[in-house]
Amino acid sequence: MTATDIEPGTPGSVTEVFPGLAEPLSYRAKRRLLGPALTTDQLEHERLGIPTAVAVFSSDCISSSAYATEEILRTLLKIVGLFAFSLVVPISIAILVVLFFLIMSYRETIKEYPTAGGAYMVTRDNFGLLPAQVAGVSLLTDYILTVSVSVSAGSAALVSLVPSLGPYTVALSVAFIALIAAGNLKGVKESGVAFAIPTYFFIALGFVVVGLGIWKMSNGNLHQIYPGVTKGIWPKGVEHGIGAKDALFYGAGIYGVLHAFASGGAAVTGVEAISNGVTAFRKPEWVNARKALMIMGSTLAVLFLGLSILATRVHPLPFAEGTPTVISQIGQSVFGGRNFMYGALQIGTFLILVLAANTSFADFPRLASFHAGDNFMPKQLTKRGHRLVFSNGILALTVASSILVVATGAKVDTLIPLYAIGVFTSFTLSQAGMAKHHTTKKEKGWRFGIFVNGTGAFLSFVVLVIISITKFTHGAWVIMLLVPLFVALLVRLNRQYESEARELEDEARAAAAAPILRRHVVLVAVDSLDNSAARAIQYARSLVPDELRAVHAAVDADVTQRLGNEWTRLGLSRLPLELIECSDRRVERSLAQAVYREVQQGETEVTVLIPQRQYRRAWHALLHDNTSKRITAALAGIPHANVTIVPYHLGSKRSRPLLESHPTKIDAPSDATNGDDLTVEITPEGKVH
Amino acid sequence: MSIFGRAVARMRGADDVGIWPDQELPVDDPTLHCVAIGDAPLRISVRATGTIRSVLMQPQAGVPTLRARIDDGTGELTVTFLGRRQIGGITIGRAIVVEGVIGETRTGRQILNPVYRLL
Repeated sequence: MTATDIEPGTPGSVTEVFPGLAEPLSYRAKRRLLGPALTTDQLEHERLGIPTAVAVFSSDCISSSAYATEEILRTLLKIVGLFAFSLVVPISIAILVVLFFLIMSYRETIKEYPTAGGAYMVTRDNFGLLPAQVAGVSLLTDYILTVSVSVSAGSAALVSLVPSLGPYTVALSVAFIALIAAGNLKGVKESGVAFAIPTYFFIALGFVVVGLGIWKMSNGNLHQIYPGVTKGIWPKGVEHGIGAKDALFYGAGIYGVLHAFASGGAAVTGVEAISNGVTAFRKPEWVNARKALMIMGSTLAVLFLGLSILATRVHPLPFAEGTPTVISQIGQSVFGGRNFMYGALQIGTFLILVLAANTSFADFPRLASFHAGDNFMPKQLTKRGHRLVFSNGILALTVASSILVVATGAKVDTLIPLYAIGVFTSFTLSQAGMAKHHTTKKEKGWRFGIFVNGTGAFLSFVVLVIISITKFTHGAWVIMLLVPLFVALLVRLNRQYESEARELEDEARAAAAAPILRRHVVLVAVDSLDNSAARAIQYARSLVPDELRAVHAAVDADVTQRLGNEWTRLGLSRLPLELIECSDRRVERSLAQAVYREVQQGETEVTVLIPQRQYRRAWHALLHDNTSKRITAALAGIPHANVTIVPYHLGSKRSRPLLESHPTKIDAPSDATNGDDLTVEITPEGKVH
Repeated sequence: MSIFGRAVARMRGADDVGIWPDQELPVDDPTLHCVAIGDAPLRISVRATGTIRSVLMQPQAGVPTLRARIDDGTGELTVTFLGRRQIGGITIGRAIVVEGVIGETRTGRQILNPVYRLL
């Protein structure tokens, strides 16, 4: 390689600086797809202002308003029929009360824990690692569900607009998940605007719908979307013309109302997003984060309550297929038909739901990396990928949520019962953790803190219990089964990691200074006397072990015979060839036995040199069985057996032993003895003691 | 029972000993009076038999030496022929009877320049 070979390269790219270090095809494809790798110091440069932060973090929360009303109605209509429309507003208000206390609680969390981590960190700090796993796993399952629910709901919004897409809902949902995952792998963090536009678009349209709708309602211009249809929906045994209060005693019962409440509880999911990402805010972080949280909470409250109020007049129906959605029916009524504004609302709903999934894609990998950092999840999850995002976490979330979408057929109402349990578990734990934090720290305003967080924890717990009971048979049991199982799994993983770490660290310093083994044997694995073997022999001669020899496993008698003949003509003095039996044709096994024979006394270090052909194209490798790799694998199990791979690059001149500058002894036996100046090592050891 | 008889008996039932246990022992002839390599006495001339498991050959520039490792199922024995590069018939898989004085070295039991007979 000469200096002229070096082309001026783009900074940060190794390929251009060292032309010989060609990047593998997979990496080049990755670069093409994802763009150039980000350097580590580019991490966390960007801080978000409040408007952008609201857009980035609140899409999950605000988007809930797109389906929460629908889920309440779906549950209620089955039980109380028409009275559902009278009950939807009280239930929505109850949910908003919970939301209010959660937001107050999270205001405290943000102030006390302005570092990233949210519920996991709060729980870990106050209750220890095991409860933190419960909080974390619950949140992780909910992030998976958020992706599935939002994308399914987003697809439903799209299908409401274009009904002919109906049969492709599942395919569409999976495609959206893949698209979001791709965007996240690329690192969409810098594109705050990309978040801001759809979020504010939806918020604006939502306000228009609610505002216009309520104005029309007060003027008496808002009509039922399916006039007369809902009149017939009466629960059994109920007379016409009974008010909402009486409905409680007739059809609904407390249980039904609670069930509807639990379904609507999905609305508050996503509140925790801001507390997970306080570090992303501009300074002072916690002040800005609090403001963003208030904006987010009030927006959700207005939209959710507004839509529920409009539902009492419009009487939208939740359909079994999920489309057209309730919000789209309300929009249709308010805008007076399927016009331009209706289309805009659908697109806005669709976009914010897809973005909501994106919030999970930001939170899941980060939370998983906290778990992994505490040795409770596979270490691969802590690794930042090509574009500085936790790529493995993103992939895990993609796979899990796609499976869920396919399994449920992208039906929001099938997914909803699974939803919200996890979030409320983590709410409960983190708020209780905050309350404990206040009692131990006793900082300024701790009494108020205890009240707020205590109420938050209590309400979350109550909601959790309600959800668990009412939705248990509808699918909640899956989560209640999975979360403990997962926690148990993580604890097991942790035990493994800890024991490994203990073993690796145990007296490492003393071990590093331990005396070396007395003997060093170098074995060169030789298949036949070709250029790749020659390279290995050339390298072997640069080593100074106590014993050096070539080893050949005799698979084919003719090949062995030929090699033996060639070897005796070879002019090297200190490289005998050992032919070992290999009657079962397992080369790797024979070599392993030969190596084991050397190390079994416990005083020998063995180095095995393995010539390995390096192929220029991936398919070239398919033409050969990768014996060298199998040998390496077989030797890995033997202590003190060390493998050195000697590459031979096919199709490249540089790899070959340079015959011109170093007259080698191959095929030149005459000048052999003076060329190889090391003394003869192999003395006959047959002396009888 | 003589030491040889015992050895042979042992050889017969020694299938489960050694590294290649599935293979049959090469010699099943009591008239050979071979010792079992595993517990052969040292410093006296003995006769042993086994299959050649590996052969070590020197290139031209090295000191002419040929070494073979034989195995009878009870143990392994290295036989070294000084001054020879190759000996016809001393190849992997052949059965051989060797006679000489066994010495114990760090790398195992050895016989130097034995009298040998290929089987």
